[in-house]
Amino acid sequence: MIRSNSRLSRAADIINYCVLILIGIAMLFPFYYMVVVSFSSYADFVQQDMLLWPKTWLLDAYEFILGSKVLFRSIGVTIFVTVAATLFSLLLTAMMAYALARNIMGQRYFLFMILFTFVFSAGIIPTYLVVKETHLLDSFWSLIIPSAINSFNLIVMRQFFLSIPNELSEAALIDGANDLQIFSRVILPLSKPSLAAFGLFYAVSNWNAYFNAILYISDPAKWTVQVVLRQIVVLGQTKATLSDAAQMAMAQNPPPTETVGMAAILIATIPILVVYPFLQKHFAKGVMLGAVKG
Amino acid sequence: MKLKNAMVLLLSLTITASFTACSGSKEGSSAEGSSNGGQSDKPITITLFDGTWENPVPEPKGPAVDAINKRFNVDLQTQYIPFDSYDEKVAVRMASGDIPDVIGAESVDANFVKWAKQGAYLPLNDFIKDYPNLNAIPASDWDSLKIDGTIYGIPDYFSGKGGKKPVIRKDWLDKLGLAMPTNYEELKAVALAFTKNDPDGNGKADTLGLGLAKGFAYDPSFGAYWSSSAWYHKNDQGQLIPGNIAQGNKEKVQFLSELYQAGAISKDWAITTYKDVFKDFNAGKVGIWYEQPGNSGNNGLDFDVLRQNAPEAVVVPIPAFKQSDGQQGIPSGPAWYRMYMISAKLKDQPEKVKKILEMLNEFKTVVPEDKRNPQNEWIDWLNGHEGTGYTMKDGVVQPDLNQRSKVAPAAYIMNQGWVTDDSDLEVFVKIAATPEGKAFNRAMTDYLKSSKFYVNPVKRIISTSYMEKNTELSQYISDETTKMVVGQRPISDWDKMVEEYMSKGGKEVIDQVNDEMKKNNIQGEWK
Repeated sequence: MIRSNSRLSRAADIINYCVLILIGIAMLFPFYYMVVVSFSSYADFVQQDMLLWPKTWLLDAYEFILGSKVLFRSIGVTIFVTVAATLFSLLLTAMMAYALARNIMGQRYFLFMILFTFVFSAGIIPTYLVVKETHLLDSFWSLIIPSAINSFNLIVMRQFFLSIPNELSEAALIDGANDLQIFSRVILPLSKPSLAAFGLFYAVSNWNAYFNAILYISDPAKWTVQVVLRQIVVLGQTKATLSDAAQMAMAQNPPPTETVGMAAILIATIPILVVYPFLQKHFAKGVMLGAVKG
Repeated sequence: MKLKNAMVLLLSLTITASFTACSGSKEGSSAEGSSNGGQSDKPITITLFDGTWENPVPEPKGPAVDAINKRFNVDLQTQYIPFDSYDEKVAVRMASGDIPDVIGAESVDANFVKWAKQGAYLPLNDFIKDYPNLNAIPASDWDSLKIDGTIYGIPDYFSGKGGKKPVIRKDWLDKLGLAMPTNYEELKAVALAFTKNDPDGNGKADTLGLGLAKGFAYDPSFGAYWSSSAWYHKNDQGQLIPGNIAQGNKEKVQFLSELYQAGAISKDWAITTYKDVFKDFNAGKVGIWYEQPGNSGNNGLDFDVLRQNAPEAVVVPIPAFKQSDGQQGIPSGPAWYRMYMISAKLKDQPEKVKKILEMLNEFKTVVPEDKRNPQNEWIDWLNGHEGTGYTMKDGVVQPDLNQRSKVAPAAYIMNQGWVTDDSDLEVFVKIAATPEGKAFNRAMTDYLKSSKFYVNPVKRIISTSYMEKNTELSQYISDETTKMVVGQRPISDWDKMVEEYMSKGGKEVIDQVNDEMKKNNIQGEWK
């Protein structure tokens, strides 16, 4: 395409940039607002409709969070679970997807089973029973195994493996490699972009895991950051339906204020914010994976 | 072909990998091994599942659990879930048959009735009489959680006189030379003056007469007659009907729509959260709003903040208006909040049941207000010992918020003794943190002690259709009356709305509630 430098297109560029900058500000503003509120006093927060700059800089909210250690412990738990679960999921997904990408006995049967779980899921109570009977309750494995393989990711990954020319594995076979060697030395190195993309998918969903943690983990020491965050943030602004009695009960041990909530969200967001820019480019790639066969 | 077989191998490897991983962690569920009820030297294992408002959530191990174990010679295994995620978790636990010895709940709801009828809970009628602190629970409160005469839950005390009550900025009244309103007409005049006559004297029209939030929070009724939730009025057949379809609510909606026209309530009230109104009240911009005795912490009126924003603010309750039938008073709820059930699986282990009740009984010990100090062994123990779990400030126990859920047994087991003489209201005056808070609680306590209360009869019976449908039906009325206040639907449509309410299941609810009342010989009564 030839890029014309007419005045009209330059005007269009300017408008584009302006709109994009406005959208960018709209995206960044909530973060800015969180920072401002987390450093403000509760009285200032209450008085103003919208705080744009703290009247007085206070560290109270951060002192409260640092004092309880609960948030940091849960961030540690989440980082551990996210890393472990992501590696575990990637390994299983890649192995299974690769196997199903080859002509093997019962391939259609296995594929059907996977598609079946893609469409129908077992429901909360049967899944809970399975987790309970396998003695996974209250262990980190309960956050890793039940969600280890995402059937959508598996199918897309299989599609990706199908796109790798068969000749490559045949050549390796002639060179004397066995199947595991082919998988680990030929196929996996070729699949780095797809592994990165699916790793990111898994990592994000593990980082955000909330419901499984509530259901399967009873020991607060093993709760993930999302559970703790929800407690700090949501309890502070409970619904109007909350009975008077519940409010009285909470008054004995009041929930943290909004300023603490904002500080907690900020601290919990930082790890993923730091990692995200480095992985973000793979996100877009991953979505396109397997879209074109060839 | 070799390739194919290898693929099958790889595939099965994947599958077995996920199974072997399971066996990696084995944690014995030690619900068993508790059959040693007879031996008094060996600790009895008790599993407890409950929701909590404590923050951070109490952990299963720590000084507080050790203290409880030692005192009662038990092995307490606790599990607490924040109440906002509690419903899902308890439903899964119950449905999977994974039922703990002791189950906590917030109130009587459809699940409680269902599980009790399915036999999940142990009937407790025969046990209770042996425990003096449980015997102190008044009959009207047992009524509210009995199912066909059987007691399955042990409630915890909550002042039936508590709860949100309308309050007003007394300093604004004085400044504008107005008297305390005693009926809706006067209230309207006051609300208008608060809005237009610059009561805060800053020269700006930035004040609001009457605070109102989404869903009519907190129901601007100034007496049982106008209450949306109390069943006070009767229909032509002599049946009690819910307040939201009664004449009182119609008058209230009429009043609110006039205020809305005049601008004395926020134009955006229908989408404003109650929390935002608290924010505005604390900022000194609202004249009439709600607060309960005690205080609701960050979730309500904050006298410290209010003083910073409006140093001259004086907040007092608005006494109930005189009704056309001569009565004058406030609706009250049941005097309890949260309860414990015991699993029916313990029916062959009476020793364990008795141990549990012994603990609950002891935790319900009433300690007079003037004895709540470190010199009282029970109070000191309950709060995790002075210096670690709490400190004394102005003669009042002040929990250390970060330590309490680890070291204070009070964070683990409900511990409100049954108070019968309103002395709990006096405690609020004592524990208020600011002089303004003390003054407010003084005024509130005096008012509540001298007021008459209407005991809402619907809270004393269990009606399944009421439980199933009331939320939806109330929402319908709330939506329609919201339209009436903002002028989208004429108030002359009132009877049509009530008809729709009836056809949506309201008729069935009213019939069933009235049948249950008749069966249990319960009426609305003043006390």
